[in-house]
Amino acid sequence: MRAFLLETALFLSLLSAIIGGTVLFLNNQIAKNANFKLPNPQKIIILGHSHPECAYNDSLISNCRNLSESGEAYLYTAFKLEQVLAQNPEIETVWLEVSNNQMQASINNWITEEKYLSFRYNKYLPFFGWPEYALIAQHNPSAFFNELAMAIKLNGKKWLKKDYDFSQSIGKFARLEVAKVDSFLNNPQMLKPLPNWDKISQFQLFYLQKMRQICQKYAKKLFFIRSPMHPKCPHWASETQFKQILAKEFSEVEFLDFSAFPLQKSELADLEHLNAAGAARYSVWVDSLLKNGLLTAPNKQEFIQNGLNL
Amino acid sequence: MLFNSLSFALFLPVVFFIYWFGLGKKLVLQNSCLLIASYFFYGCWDWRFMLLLIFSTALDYYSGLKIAQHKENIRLKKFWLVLSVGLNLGFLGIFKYYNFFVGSFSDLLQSLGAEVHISTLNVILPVGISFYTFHGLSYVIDIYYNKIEPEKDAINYGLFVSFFPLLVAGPIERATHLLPQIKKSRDFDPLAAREGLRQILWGLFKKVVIADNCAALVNDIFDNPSAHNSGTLLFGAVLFAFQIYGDFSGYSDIALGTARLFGVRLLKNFAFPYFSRDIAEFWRRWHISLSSWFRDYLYIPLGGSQGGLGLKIRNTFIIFLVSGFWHGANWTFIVWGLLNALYILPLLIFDRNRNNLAIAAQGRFLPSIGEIFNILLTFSLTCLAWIFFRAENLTDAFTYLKGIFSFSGWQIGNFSSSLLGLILFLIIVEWWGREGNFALERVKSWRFKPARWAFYLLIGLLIFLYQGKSHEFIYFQF
Repeated sequence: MRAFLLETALFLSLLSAIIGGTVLFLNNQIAKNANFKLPNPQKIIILGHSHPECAYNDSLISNCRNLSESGEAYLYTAFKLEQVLAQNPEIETVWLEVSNNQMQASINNWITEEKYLSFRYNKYLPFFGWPEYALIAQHNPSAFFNELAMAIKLNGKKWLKKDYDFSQSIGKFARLEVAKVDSFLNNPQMLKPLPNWDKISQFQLFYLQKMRQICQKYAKKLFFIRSPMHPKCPHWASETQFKQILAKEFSEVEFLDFSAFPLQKSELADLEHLNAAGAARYSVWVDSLLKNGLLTAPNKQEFIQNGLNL
Repeated sequence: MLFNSLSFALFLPVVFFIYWFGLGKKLVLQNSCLLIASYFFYGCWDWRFMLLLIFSTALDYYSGLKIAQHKENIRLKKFWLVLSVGLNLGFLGIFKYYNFFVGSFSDLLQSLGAEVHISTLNVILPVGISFYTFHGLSYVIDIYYNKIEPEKDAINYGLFVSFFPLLVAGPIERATHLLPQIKKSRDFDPLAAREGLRQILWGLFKKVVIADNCAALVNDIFDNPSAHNSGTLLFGAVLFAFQIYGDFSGYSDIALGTARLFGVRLLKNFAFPYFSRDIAEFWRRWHISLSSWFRDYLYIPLGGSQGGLGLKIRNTFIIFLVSGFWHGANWTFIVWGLLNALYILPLLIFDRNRNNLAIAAQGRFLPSIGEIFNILLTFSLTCLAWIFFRAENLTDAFTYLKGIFSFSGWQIGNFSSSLLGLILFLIIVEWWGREGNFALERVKSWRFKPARWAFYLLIGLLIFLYQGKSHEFIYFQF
């Protein structure tokens, strides 16, 4: 019995060591050689989830590059930010989308649910530390093992092909050609806040703090931004908690709140995303604010308000 | 709790350690431990149907005692047999077949112009009902025919019915085979345990790597056959053949391997069926426990092969139709069974159904050209039949077949070359190990230990790397 148990334990240990060793080796190779150098680097980068992804047409905003991605939790944004800032010294300013739903606990699914993990976890795995491994292993162990397997295959191919370029796959402006606000307004289910809307996501908070530290480390100016949303968007339910968190945890970070930018129904894809037409008009307006000195104005929110009033 | 889940990976060692270390090697405690573990295992699937399992177990246990008690009184003996069989099949009928019969009857009446409003039942099929029902039936029938004495110990009998490795998808055990093992004290046998682990490893490869990776492609092709050309449809049918083999034989390997960890040997359920040289041989190698159950409890009582060719053919057709029906309440399974019966018909007529009793190319490395041809022909016929097995309904099945025989192009759509490589690996390893009880059994004869370990580690690594999206075992739905 003893010999049987020892042999079984040895086999499992060897198998784990081979898998773990392969993951660590590939992570090391990818992290060492990863290319986040942006073609035509700009002074301002925009990061966040689908709200800024659809709102900021960077071809209409001078010196700006939109690196937002749908469904991206701050866990991934933080590691993307670090790599981008390290390899693109031309960047001076970071605009980071901080909106109501990003602080709600419902967004934790973007970190722990398998369907979201499969989009990003194995891609950014080479840059993670042990806390990030533990985070998923603890909350979704079966998905964690799946992702490790995917990571070995994906990163193994990258290593064999010496393909370390990330610059084309870290986000860009997304054009939405639909306008479905009315169908959302007519559906009461779509006007209800998400579950746990009133609870704060500690994961998001943690990685938001981390991004503030990253910007400090690279001496880049960080602004929080909030893209426009429809007044009936259910995310507004957590406005009080949202403002409290910003005031309590991030009082020193300037918050550029563009959410009140007036939009026609024809310019919104739904209650929280601009379509291409809305993004075009909005982006031109943001460009004008920047050209008129938004970033150097003493009271930026007043500056934005004056811009809205014009 | 799937066999390839983390929860089972925790469950099994806990039960293993309690069984061998925590109970002082006392048989009654070991059997009680396994029984509790088995009910826990079943409860994890759906605790609501535990009562049905317990009732079925109690019914057959008591009926067995009564049948034996009234050995001399044929009327009472028959009464208890009919009661047990009737109630068991009754439950199976209600849960599995009620909606089918009601729906089919309703369709028939409507086709004759009648307006019908018949309610169907909104019930979930209890997991494993087809399997544990047949366990119980074989027990009471064997007692009736004086093949065994009834088991007086309720724990032993309960364990026979609900032993967790075979509870939800077989193999369908016989009391004559399993009960004596349950009643005998068991000492830990490291060789048997290693064999068990070897078999579990190979079973996991077949289920996780082959079956689950084929499933995604198969679902895509079968869900929308009109969107694919002939080549892709043919490819889909072949992939399904590997999916169902990987799924079911993989599960059986894991079940048999797990049982060996506890000192129990279950009936072999698969013997490399895709290397069969004719359909009769295929059915001696596929789902052996079910085929032999039908042979012993239906075919032989109907007269079997005695009484001429006509009777033999009739009985064979009955077996295949019932077997198809056992698989599910759908006309597709009945057609599948009928097709297999038609395949066997020429072999019966020309008395060639027992030509190939040994494994192909026994004692040789390579098969002959004739054997290769026969193997491929048998495999092709099986794939054709599998189309009915997999399709949701007859219309979809015929649409699928029509698509294949429309010859609308032979370029296969998107497929993974690594999956084909893995299937080739499966075929090579299974061919190489075909003379054993399972493919990896032969590895133990390798003298160079590092080579054995490297091979096991390779398989373990492949299981880890190619873990597809986990799909429930196909046969759980039966």
